[in-house]
Amino acid sequence: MTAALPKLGVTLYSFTPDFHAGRYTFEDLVVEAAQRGLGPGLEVIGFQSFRGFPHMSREIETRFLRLVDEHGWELACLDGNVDVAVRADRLLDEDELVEYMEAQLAAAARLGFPVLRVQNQATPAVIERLLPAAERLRVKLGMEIHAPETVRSPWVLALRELYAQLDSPYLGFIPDFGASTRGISPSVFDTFRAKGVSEELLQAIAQRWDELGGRHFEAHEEIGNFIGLAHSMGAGDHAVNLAVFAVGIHGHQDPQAWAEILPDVVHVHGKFFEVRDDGHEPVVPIEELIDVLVAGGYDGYIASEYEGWHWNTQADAFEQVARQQALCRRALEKHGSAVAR
Amino acid sequence: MLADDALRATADGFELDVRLNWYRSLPLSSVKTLELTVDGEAIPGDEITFAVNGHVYSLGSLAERWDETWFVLDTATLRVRRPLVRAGARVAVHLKLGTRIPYILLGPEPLEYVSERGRELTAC
Repeated sequence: MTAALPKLGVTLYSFTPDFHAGRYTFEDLVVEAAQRGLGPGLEVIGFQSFRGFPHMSREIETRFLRLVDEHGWELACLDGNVDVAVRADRLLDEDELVEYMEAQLAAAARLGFPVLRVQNQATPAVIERLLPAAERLRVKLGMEIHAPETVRSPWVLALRELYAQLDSPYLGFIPDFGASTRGISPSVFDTFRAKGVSEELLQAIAQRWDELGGRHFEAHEEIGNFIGLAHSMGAGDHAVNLAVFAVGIHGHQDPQAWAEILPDVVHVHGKFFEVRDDGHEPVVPIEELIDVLVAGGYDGYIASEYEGWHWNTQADAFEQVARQQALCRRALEKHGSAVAR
Repeated sequence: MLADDALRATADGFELDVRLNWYRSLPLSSVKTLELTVDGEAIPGDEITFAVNGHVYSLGSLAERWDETWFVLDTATLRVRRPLVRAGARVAVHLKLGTRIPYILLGPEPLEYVSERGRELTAC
């Protein structure tokens, strides 16, 4: 008997430019992604897709659930946002943030999502206070670990300690594949080269990124350093984007390190930037990451998250997701019988 | 941020439709910087009103509206009472929009994501 394997899926965030430009409504995306066979797992960002989130109209919820049902989706994860700075005058205090997030947990429960993605502005104290609602509503809290953070970031270690202490199946993590990359996607360099950024600067950025791999750093400080570097070498208006793309979404964590938290993984973001015509992702080691997940017994969803749209405005996001899922499927098939589409 | 048909002449001034510069909806309190220049003339903030969700706000009062959302697909309409724009005219519009991203803190402060667009628009 073979153990269950991870299942594939997609986050509609992959299609953000199509949604913003009005080429597809939210409901069109639910239908289109299903018709292209990009399921079965569906992930949605609450504040992106649902008008009125987390207090949507009954009509919006009913129509969404009807489409989910008609098109055979399995609800995988609802992405919440921990908007601690929602007020302009001060940060929310702990009571307010707990209340703010409980409304999102309730939205996930009404729709039937098994997991709510949360973010690192939710301190261990906030997570602990959200747990009773999560257990009552039967929605897992999935803390995202996104580049440049790692399983060993101090705040992640603090949360791991809390999880060990509370030992609840409703507390977990969501690894983002972008935390474990081999380098900055060549598609970033292609784009900025075409915009006239010098080869010397692009090489300096790549080199500086490599140097970061060996040490701990604070994301916002390092983004500032990259902005400074890019400005000093004439990047002008491109400096901020180059810095954010380099440091903020391309991480250095060893793929094997996810094994440390795998028993607590409740969902996975299959982040990628570009799958080329030869079927490979140049910087996200997808096969190795899937090997790590399978070895650790993970059998939840890997939601494909195409993020190359930030700089590549020409690529077809649906085609990119289909290519990445073909790659995932090949990697999974090494581990067992055919993976269901 | 600025569509082809974003600019309209009105009886006593003009209106400009603006889209958010982030991937998701944000509270109105996120609008931290909004600077508008029309044919080289900077419009003072206190002459601009911001209309969204059927409400009209002064720019200064947006900071208090943390409980109201600017949906990511909706346009907000800036209204200015200044006869700078005639229907059919080509006008150089420059807009700077900075939004505070409420879940990304850089140290103690939320990230302000600043976008600038300069476009020649034909007023409807």
